[in-house]
Amino acid sequence: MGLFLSISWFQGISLGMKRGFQGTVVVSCIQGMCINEGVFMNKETRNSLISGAIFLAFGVYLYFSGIGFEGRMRPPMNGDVGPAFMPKLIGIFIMLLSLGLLLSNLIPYLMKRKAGTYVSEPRQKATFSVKVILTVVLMFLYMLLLSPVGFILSSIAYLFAQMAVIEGTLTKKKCLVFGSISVVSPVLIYLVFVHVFSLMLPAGILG
Amino acid sequence: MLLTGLLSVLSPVVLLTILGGVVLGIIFGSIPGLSATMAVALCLPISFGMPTVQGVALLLGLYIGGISGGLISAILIKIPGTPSSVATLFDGAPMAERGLAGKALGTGILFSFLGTVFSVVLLMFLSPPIAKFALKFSPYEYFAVTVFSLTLIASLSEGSMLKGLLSGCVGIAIAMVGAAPLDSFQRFSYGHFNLTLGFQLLSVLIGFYAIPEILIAARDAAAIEEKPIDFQMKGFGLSVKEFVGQIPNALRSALIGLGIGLLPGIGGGTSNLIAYASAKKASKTPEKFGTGIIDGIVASETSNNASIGGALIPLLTLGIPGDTVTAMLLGGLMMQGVIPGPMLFKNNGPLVYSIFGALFVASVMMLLVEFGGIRMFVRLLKIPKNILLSVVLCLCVVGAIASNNRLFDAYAMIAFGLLGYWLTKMKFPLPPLILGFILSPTLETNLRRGMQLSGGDFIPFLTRPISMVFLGIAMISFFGSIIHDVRRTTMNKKAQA
Repeated sequence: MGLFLSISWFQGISLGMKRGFQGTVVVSCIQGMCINEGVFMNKETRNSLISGAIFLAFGVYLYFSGIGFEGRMRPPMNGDVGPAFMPKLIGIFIMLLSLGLLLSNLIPYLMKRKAGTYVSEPRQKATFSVKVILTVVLMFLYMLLLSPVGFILSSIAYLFAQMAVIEGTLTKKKCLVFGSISVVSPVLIYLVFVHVFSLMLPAGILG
Repeated sequence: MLLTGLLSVLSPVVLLTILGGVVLGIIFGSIPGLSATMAVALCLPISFGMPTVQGVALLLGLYIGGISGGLISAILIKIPGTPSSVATLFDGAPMAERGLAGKALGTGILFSFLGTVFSVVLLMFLSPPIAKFALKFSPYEYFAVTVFSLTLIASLSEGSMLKGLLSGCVGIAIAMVGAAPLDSFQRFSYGHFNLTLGFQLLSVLIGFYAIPEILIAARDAAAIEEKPIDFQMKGFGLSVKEFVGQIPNALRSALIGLGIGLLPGIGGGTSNLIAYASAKKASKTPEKFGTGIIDGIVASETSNNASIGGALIPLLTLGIPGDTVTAMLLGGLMMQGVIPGPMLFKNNGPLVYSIFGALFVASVMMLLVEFGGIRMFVRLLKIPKNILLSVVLCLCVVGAIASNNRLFDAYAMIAFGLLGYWLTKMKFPLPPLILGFILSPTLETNLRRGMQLSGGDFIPFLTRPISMVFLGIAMISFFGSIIHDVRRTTMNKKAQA
């Protein structure tokens, strides 16, 4: 049960990321309410409802994981509450709190809608910053390359790309500045940590 | 005895060693991803080769510099260098944004110093009785203190209290991954080898603070502008009147820091948040907290440094280390043939006074080095954000890998970063999450130990005097915060209508 829920939870999140949070039933209901009849929920309310729904799912997942643990673990002895107790307790807390968050935002909204006093927000397109997505991609690429290629080379590549992505436009002068910083700092960091402090950093193809 | 001990610290070699330790500690503390713990761990082998006093002095210098150095990055780049300086950034960062970086740093440094000195003086005179008091703490009391600390989440939640509490619960949940306390039952690891060890505090802290900073820099890239930098500062940047006004706050924070530092498992990482929350509660103008007032910096920095003396009390008198840094210090002392415990004061009298002397000298040096460096530190703000933050990320990766020598922690750091970015976007406060993460194991361990001790009865948690007092304060503070929050929202609504 716990595993199933965990899978559905992750699916919910990943689907949600892709399609504007349609992962779970609750979330898709909210999605429906956000945009129906040309009335747009204000951002604050919408965010609270979406995050409340996701946390509700998370609370349920924690609680049922706790129940799952009870099947695997030895029965607690000497009055110990056992390792399943805290996940269940925190799961219940999270469920209650997220229900509170959902209801405290939903009820005023529905009441206002019913009374017709709800001031619709102008529809805003979902804004995804290309730079943010690129930054995330760069970080994961950096992690992936770290072990096979080694700390120095992957850091040089990451540093240069990251500086360039945030900067946006590259002039020759900027290229030179970024280039020299991204070569010097990883080499320095590597030398200091590996040779002075005897730490292990991935050496990769240079090693 | 006192004189021989103190004089042995004043030899040029030892003084230079302390200076080196303090400088290195500040560097490690101020770079996000590298911590005081790491500084002590890396220099431990170096200290073995030194004479006893010199070796111990090096480690203490690193400890003091490392705890205090975190304030620099917290104020200047909004990433706490160590868990001890999370609360410093609440008011320090807004001050730096307003161009008052110098004043923020000066205040933080001055009160770091005062906090350390306060705790060292108490350590010198009151160690044995305080340690006796701390020994009275059974699991019931620990549980109560942890619950009390967690209820402060409510007052750390900016805006929505529900969101703050949720955030705290998520922090508690994240800490559950891996082996459960007491019986090492595997939870949430799904057979994945790396998850069985659980998540490291470092990757959680750096993930939640450093990664979102970079993503935000990427998002607002166009809006980055040059900020004014305050260089006209006299003394520590704050007036005598301001200083006098902060004395009650500083005293309260120092006592909180000392008390929290005493308790094994709950150290500087918690005390700064608790002192901040208490200062906010006691303040006549709590709404100003978080906008950049020195009260917040004073509370956080006094208490985290006061925790140093607090943590050393059980270490020296009982041989119980309170956190990873003191555990490392214990190792360093024992390698030098010094066995902390009740007999230390009898057998190694002069050495104990050397330790006190070294602590004192180290805090003076910390004050001088950091104060002298303010102008240099502030220059960090001049470095374009894309360059600074990219290099910081590189260092965070190094720190994450180095803390356990596995790449997994670096991946975890980035994953937490994305979660942190999303939570900030959804207006969830992050400090409760960090506090929940830090306190989760202590909470669960002591609940379960206590229940075993009482044979499954919860009543002793409520009837033991110390435990009862703390749980009582916890209830009062928690419901007080809720009532306050509800009142504020209704007032806001009325104001809007």
